[in-house]
Amino acid sequence: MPLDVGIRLTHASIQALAEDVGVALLHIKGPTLHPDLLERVESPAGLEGPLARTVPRRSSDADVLVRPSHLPILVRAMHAHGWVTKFDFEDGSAFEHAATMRHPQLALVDVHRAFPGIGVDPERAFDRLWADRVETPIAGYPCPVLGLTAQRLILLLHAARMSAENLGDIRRSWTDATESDQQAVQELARELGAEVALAAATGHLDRFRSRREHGLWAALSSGETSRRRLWWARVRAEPTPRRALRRAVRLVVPNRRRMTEWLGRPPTHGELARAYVERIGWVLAESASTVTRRRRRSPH
Amino acid sequence: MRFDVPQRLAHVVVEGDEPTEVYPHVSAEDPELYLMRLPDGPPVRLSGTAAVIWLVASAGEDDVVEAVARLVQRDPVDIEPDVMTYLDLLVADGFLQRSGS
Repeated sequence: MPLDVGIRLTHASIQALAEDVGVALLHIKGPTLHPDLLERVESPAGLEGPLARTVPRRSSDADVLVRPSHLPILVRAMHAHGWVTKFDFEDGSAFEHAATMRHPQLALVDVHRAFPGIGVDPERAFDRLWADRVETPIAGYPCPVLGLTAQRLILLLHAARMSAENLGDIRRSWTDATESDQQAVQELARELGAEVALAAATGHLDRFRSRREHGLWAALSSGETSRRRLWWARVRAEPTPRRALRRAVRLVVPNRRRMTEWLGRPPTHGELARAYVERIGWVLAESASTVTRRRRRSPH
Repeated sequence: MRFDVPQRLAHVVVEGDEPTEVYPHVSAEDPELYLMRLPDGPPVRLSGTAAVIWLVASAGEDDVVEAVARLVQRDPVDIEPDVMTYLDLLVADGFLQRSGS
């Protein structure tokens, strides 16, 4: 089955399942996008001149954003219908925003409980996005998707942490948007506490130098490759010392589920210990190289 | 006899390069589509004449046999028994429903 077909069927399947158990979720990215946000190409000229058509967005999985308080119900229902958790929230990105689920006959699903870059409480953020939802058929089945302004914002927040990979999304969602569309996106970003991440995507990050999250979004949007610097930026972006400590530890401790996926079996104690030493090693090695550089620069 | 798409059925048509004028989703070469009863499926692939029959029936045609015959360039009398049998199968499998049912 072609992947894009599988992704559409998956969106419809998850929507039907969510309805059966009374779960609210929004379908995001991929086949949910408004045509204004899709790449357009011109076909060879016909009798009436060149024909423009939109190119479906390439995805590797289906993405949904679930109302956070409904998450346990959805996951339980998915497990009862043949879905298996491939990566749990703690196994995924450093933001721990999505779990990846797999099914023997469908595409992978990333179940988001939050979206990186949005600063307000996830339940409040979902309420705001849900209020502007629109219904669109995916695989012929009606699915609630984000309103156009929220679609622009989510693409921009996604692009902000993918550096140069998503320049097309930035152009279609922001650069080519009208002034009033841009204002609407900025207003929504303010409501969702997403101004810093939005500014990282639109090239205005300097306006937010005093904000705690500035370093993180500067690092992510510049394509920073130093794992130590990204680690520190993520730790520093946490709003409380307790959460910062939790993040620091999580980012260094090796992930058992990811290792199982990679090895094809659970890791042994020895493999876990070696992975732990390696991860501690990259923090220390990069810290040492920073100290060396500073000493060299120092007049003493 | 008219048919409808059941409410709990997902369907994706694999877009052909040269759609016919009458049914934009029907590729003249080799129509292909996937159907899935929701939420669990499994997904089912239809191609060729099977896909044409589902597409024509799901478009709400009054005379499915006549419309299919036109598309596949056959005499309606020759294909009627097979088309009607296949429509019964699609209904039995939950991939179509008779209008008003």
